[in-house]
Order: sequence, then structure tokens, then C-alpha cells
Amino acid sequence: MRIRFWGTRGSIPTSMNADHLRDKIGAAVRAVIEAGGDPDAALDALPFHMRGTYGGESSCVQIETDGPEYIICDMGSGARRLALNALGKHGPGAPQVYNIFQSHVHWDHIMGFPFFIPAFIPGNVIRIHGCHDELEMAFRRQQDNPSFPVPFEFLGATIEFVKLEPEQTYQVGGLTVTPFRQLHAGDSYGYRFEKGGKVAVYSTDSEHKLEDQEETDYFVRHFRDADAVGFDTMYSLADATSLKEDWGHSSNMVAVELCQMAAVKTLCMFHHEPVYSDAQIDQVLAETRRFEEISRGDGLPLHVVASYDGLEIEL
Amino acid sequence: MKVTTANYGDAIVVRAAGRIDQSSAGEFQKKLTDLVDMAIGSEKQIVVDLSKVDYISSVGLRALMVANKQAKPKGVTIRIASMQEVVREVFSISHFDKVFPTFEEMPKALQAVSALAAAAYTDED
Repeated sequence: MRIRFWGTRGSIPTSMNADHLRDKIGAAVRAVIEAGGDPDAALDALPFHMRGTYGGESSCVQIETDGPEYIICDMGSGARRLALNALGKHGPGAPQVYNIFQSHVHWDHIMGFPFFIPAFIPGNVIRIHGCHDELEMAFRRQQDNPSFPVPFEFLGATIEFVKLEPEQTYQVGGLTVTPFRQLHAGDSYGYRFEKGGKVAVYSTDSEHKLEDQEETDYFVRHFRDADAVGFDTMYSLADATSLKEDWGHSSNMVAVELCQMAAVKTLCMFHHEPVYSDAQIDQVLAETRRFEEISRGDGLPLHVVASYDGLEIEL
Repeated sequence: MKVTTANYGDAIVVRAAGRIDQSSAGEFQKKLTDLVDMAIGSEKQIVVDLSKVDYISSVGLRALMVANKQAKPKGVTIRIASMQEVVREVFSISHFDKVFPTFEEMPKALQAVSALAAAAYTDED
């Protein structure tokens, strides 16, 4: 099983402007000159925020297996690049099955669908799974006038909407999939994917109130022994419990604690705050790794990564 | 975890000891919110002495935040004093150090409350 992150930014897509990019290039060039020696080696040795970028696409994550069908979590703006990659791999004349699992239908999680080219191509089958009654309505509405010029009926692929029930287990695309309910405006749903002894959990747009043990136990049960968990770490704990309480998102500290309790192997920080620069996300990652050390106790180390657009993790 | 209290002039000092985590945060929160009620009624301020606290988890920090939401609109400031290094790091990572005034030593925290509180602490200790 392999996880491919196509969009990792929260709430709205972001991009660097010319000044941001110039600052980044300038800092990298100066650091490489100062290091001397092989410039490629010096570049590779720079911190990630100097040599790369976390990217700015909104939520879209692919779970690859050796099966022929696509498994995709959310249709944020990252879905556009996923689609281009799929077409480059198969060509437009080779029909595919795309299984999409929606955490919820807020705009940043569906905005990539109008640009998801496989939806335009006859022969493709697109099954959009989710637990919300409004699932189909939300996808159709964003293509209606005056929001978009291509109505849903114009799409050439066979598009099906599949209503799921939380806590029920389904077999889709060769994986066992279990949705579970999360706290977010209008509800959101996480998904636990299992195949061949490997487990990946997608849990975004989820607030954790920390009010009772029952809530903690519920998430620990769904995260239990996962190889990787993608977790909404948008805010600091202070923001998540004060100014941004009830905004439906969580923190890096709660992510670490829940993953430690559930004996998760890798935490993938996800749904990054759109105002954060690459350097700020690097800083949050360093702090999160330090908190993992502080809070580990006698448990096994939890590997912590900050997901970025283009990251691939082999489980 | 143990929680004790003491009064120094117009300051109520809350002394916690041990770990403040899932198993003890409920008791910590109840004690804090009761003391905030008392502080509001008697026009006092609160200083939380964390010198004997080895670790505080997110649930423990939340207890402080709940008390702060109760206290702040009523003019009561919760100050944090004498954190051990690990607890200080947790405050920094969580950004709670941006919400609560923090002090390296109790006398400085009490001076920030009032000269009366600082003097009462010096006399007793």
C-alpha cells in the first residue's frame, strides 16, 4: 500500500507570489554558495522549506494498492494533478474505475471535481462514496450556473453516488473501508482503509474537544495499530481551544497523543493552515517531533512527517 | 496529582504536583474553576504554581483554558509560575505561553499581581 498526497492545504488553496519565490531562491542560492562543494549535494542538505515547498492544493489523497481501481480521499484542488497523472499513465482511451471517499462536502474538499478530467471521458466509472445525505447535491450544485459553465449532465463518465453508513465495513476496490463520524460543522467522516495487513487512516476536518474519555477511546479504536494516519493539525492547541474553538479543526499535540495511544506507526500532519509559510510548517513539524519525544513515555516512537503536495509514503 | 491552595494578599496561589493528564485533568479543572469563582467573588487574582508538575498533557492544558475563559471576562487574570523545563516546552509548543502570562519565579508572578501579594509571600516564605 502506498499513500500519495496530491493536496495537503486546509480550507483554501494557496500559492507563493513572486516576492515569496524570490526570497526562497535567494536564501537557497546564498546557502549553497556558503556551503561550497557539490551544489546539488548542498541543495539536498538544506531544510525542506528552503529547497522545496509544502504546496498549496486543498485536500486530495490517493491510496495505491496493486489493484486496478483508484482509491481517492476528497476532491480538493489537488485532484486536478491526480487526474493529469492518471491520464498520463493510462492515456484517455483506457477506462478506469475511480473510487472517491468524501470526508465531507465543504467547498475546499470538492472544488477539484470540475477539473477532474476523467469525469469528462466516456467509459470511466466514478463512484463517489460518503456518509452525507447532501453528497450528490453538493457535487451537482457546484457545476450549476452561475458557478461553473459545464453542467453535471455534460460529464461523459458514468458517475455514481454511494451512501455509506458510519461504523459499517465495506469492500471497495480490494480494500476494507470503515467510515467513522467526526466533529465538524455539518459532520465529517474519517476512513480506515485496510488491505494485506496494512492500515491507512484518513482523518481530516475533525475537532477534538478533549471533554471525555469516550471521545478519546472512539478515535483510538479507529486509529488502532495503523501504519499511517493523516490527521488535521491545522491549529496550535491554544488556538483550537480558544479563538478557533468550534471551527472544526485540531492540533499537532492532540494528533500525537491520539496516535501514541493507538500505537500508530506514522503520523502525517495534514490540512495545513493556509497562512503558514513553508518555514512555519517546518517549525511546527520540529515542535511536533519534540512533543512526541516528551510525551512518548514507555511507548514505541511515533514517526512524524508533515505531508506535502507530492509526498509518497510506502507502507 | 495533588492540588493545594494558599492566599497571599489579593492572590490565590494554586499549587499542583505530579502529572496533569487524562487521569487527573478533571480534578484539576474542577479545583481551578471553583477557585476562579472564589477569585471573582473576592476580587482576587490567581497564580498557578507548576514547580512540582512533571508533565501536562493537552487535556490538562484545556483545563487551564476553560478556567481562563471563565476568569478573563470577570477581570481575573490567571498567571503561571515556576514551570519545569519540560512543562515550559509544552507551553511553548501548544502556544499557551501566548495566552497566559508566565513567570520564572513565584515572587515575580506575585509582584505582577500586587505589592501586597508579593509582600505577603515574602513575609511567609
